[in-house]
Amino acid sequence: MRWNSRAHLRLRLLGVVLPALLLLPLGRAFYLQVLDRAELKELAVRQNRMVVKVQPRRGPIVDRNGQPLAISVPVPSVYAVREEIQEKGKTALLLSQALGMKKGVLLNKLGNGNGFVWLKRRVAPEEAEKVADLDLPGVGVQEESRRYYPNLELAASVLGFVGVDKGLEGIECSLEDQLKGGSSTRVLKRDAKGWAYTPLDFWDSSPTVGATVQLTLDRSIQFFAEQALNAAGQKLGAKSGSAIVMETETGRILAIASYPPFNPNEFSRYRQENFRNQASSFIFEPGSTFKVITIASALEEGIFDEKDIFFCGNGSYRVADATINDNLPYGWLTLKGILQKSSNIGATKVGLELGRERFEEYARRFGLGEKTGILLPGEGRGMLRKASSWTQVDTAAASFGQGIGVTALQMVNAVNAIANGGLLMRPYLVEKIVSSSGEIIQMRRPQEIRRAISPETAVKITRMMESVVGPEGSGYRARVPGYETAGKTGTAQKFSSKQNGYSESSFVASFVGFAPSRSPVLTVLVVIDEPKENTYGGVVAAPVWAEIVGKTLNYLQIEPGASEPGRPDAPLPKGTRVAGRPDVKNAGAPMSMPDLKGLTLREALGVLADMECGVKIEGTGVVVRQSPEPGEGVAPVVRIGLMPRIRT
Amino acid sequence: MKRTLKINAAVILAVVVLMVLGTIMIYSASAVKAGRDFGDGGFFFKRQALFGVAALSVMIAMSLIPYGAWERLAAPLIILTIVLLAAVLSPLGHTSNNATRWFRIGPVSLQVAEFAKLVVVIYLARYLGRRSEEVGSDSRILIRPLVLLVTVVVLVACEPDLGTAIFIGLLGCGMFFVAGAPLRSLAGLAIASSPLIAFLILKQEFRVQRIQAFLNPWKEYEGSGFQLVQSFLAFGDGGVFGTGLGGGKSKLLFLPESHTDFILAVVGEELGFVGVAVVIGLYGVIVTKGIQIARRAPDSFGMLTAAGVTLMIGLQALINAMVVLGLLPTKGLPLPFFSYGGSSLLTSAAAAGILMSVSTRGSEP
Repeated sequence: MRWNSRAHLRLRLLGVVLPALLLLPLGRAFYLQVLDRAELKELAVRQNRMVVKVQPRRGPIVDRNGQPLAISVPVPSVYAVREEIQEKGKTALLLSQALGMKKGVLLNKLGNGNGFVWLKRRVAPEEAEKVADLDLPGVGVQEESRRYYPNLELAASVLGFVGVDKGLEGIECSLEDQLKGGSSTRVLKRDAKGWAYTPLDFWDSSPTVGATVQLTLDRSIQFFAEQALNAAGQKLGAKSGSAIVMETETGRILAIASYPPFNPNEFSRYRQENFRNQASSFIFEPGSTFKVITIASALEEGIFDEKDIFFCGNGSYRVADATINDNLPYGWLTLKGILQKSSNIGATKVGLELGRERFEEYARRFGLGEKTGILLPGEGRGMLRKASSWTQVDTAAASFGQGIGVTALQMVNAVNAIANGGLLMRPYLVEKIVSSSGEIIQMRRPQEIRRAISPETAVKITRMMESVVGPEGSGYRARVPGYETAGKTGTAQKFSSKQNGYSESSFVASFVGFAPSRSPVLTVLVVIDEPKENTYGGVVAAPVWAEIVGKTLNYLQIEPGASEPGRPDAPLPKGTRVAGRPDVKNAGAPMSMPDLKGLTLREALGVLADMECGVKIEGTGVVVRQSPEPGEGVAPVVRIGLMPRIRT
Repeated sequence: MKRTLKINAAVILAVVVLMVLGTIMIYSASAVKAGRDFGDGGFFFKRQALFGVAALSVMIAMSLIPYGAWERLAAPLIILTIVLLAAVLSPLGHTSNNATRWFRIGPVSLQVAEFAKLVVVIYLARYLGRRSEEVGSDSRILIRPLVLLVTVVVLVACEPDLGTAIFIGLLGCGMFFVAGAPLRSLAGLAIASSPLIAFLILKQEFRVQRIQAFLNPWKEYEGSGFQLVQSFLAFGDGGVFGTGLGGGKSKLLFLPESHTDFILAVVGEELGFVGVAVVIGLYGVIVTKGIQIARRAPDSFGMLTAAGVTLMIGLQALINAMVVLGLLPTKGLPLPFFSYGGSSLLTSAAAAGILMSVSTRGSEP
């Protein structure tokens, strides 16, 4: 039995080897499933999910009080997963009836390729309902979001608008990443061929909402600004225009109006030009408003004093090969008179004395020729050439704001430095950005850029600007009843490349100023480009300015009479904001406690400094409680409690 | 006798558990695909269940038929098989996925190559069993079965189904080995056939890709390595206890052939390592018991038949599991009793029935 024994030996061998070999796959499975599992599992999770480009719900844009400026509302969209469609022809026919689309278009969409496809986005609710009722395999309705601007035209040039999937203009564009909600787009399970299996309920159930952007804009002030600007723009047949309201102390932009307006809900019905934010992108020669900068610079340099007088050539003055003209012939004018009457000749004399180098230096100190960095797409840099290339005529022209280019934003910010005691602030439009989970992503604080001029110079130039709005000034139409204001008119000739020189008919009229002038809260600029009927800034822009400032001061409850001329030290009514100067309530009774409530720490300490008492301070912000109470005798140690200021 | 019953019971239990579990897993793995392609999530499940009933009947019938009957039928069967394999390649055959492997009879399509495996076992058992004395000494007697074996292998390879062809060749060699053929002849056979196999692999682009994918699946992740990577991910997703029946994601059309050749990956994902160990363990039971039955066989034919069918089931399970787990290059081999496919199921059940028939007539060696 030689054969049998060998065969049996081999069988026995097989009986051991075959089961032993089965241990190979078993061990391999153990490795994959137990030892190497974590890594594999992660890979599996990653590749089972496919990101489908579905717009997540966009975060809202709100004003500084939380009022909505741009919101996203859910709207249904109809999609198909093409492999799941059973009868393409019938499906297309039924859908074409339900959605009011051409059958051919639908067939085309259903026919090309595999996987997921949008059939019609943002349909009417009734259409979506019809589609849902049809209950066609492979066809579904998904809620998407649609951008809606509840205030219609309001702040449109700041907000911009959203195209099919992303922000195209304004804040919607510049803060796209934050608003759209990060990269956490919706995901669905996918299969090997890259299309979705899961039929109608495959969407990630937790929606990803973008961050909330809170602007510094105040909806009401924005409304005042737009109302006044639009009315004037229409009445005057202006080409374009802008108005900016800035919070003096901080550089916050409270309103930016841009003319002509547009409704972002129907942006496709407007032309491209309407979308421009005129305030940040339109570059113009400022004209006479710039004399404020010229004279402030000369004062700061100590070249002249307010009382110095200039001979203004009776309306005509020759510089090199050019003749400078005034609108009315003036003889001798003080520095203040030059600003008040807006004499080009006077400004020229000041500017030439200042010299081109120092002129350029001051222009730059006031922030001209550089972008403010506001978060709006397409901000202009303006035009400020190197002084070394200026001729004498260039310097003369620049003295009264011709031959240099600014944006409205640069100009209002420069004048705001004067209102703010010489400190140039960084203007800003976005207060904070808060994620959908409530986490603060970004919070803006007021930021100083640099000191442009000293506080003393700022006060001097303010006094001069007050006279502009006075009865004798060129800007008397900017008077706001009950408030003292400071400002400057501007009427600039526009350069026409057609005529290769300055146009006799195209002007940019403007008015810039701040109020109340003794403790400024607002700095406001109104620019009207090519008004048709009247061209003077004092006539065209000043009333718009007065309307915006009057309504805004009233809205902010800055009480009239607070800083009327001649009563600078009158007791301030409650609720008045005191900026910069310590003003004391009940100041007449020095040996009893003054009312410190509402003052900042520095102001309160200024008051208490005269009282020879110790001070114990708790907290930060403004004074909310004090011991002893107002009217009581002064204690050796006065305790004051402070809380962060709450904006009214 | 008692011993025999015990052995038979173990084999039957293993086979039935594998079949039931396989049918359940087929439902889990194919419901989505079936729902999409046939509008009936239970399409593959129902068919497999029907085949399962048929397969059990075949197994019982085969176990009752004395296995000696197959010895007499061996020659006609092998001739019939070769004729049918040739006929499949004629226009009579049914083509699917660029391969002509089936005969269509009404709604059922039969894969001749599956039955060929069993017929080759029976034929070789008869031929080698009758020459049990000479096999060890005279290599020349191997020539005749080798010619027939090569004929079958080439016909199957022409379908083309290289995986099954190589498997049948391997099965034949396994039987030569068990029958006691000299190791020299077997080694010579392996050396002689390797250039041919290499040629057949290199001739077809996709086979080269499969080899590359096997060697480095992660590199070929988006392409030819995709299936293997999906298989790995399915196993990894399952972990020790699995995601639960029906809880796997890979079968959502991620894992190609999830209800046929790669069903073990679905087991790995949904039933975890525990499930995989049970399935592999059941094959271990069948293999161990099968070899026992062979050793207890009353005659050479019975021994070689039992060893052959055991090899057929065990080797196929081994190769399938190793392929799915990335230990061998991708081959189109189903998991016996488990994968979807009527031909495979019927063949495996018939093999198990014959094994039982040998067992019942066997005794302690």
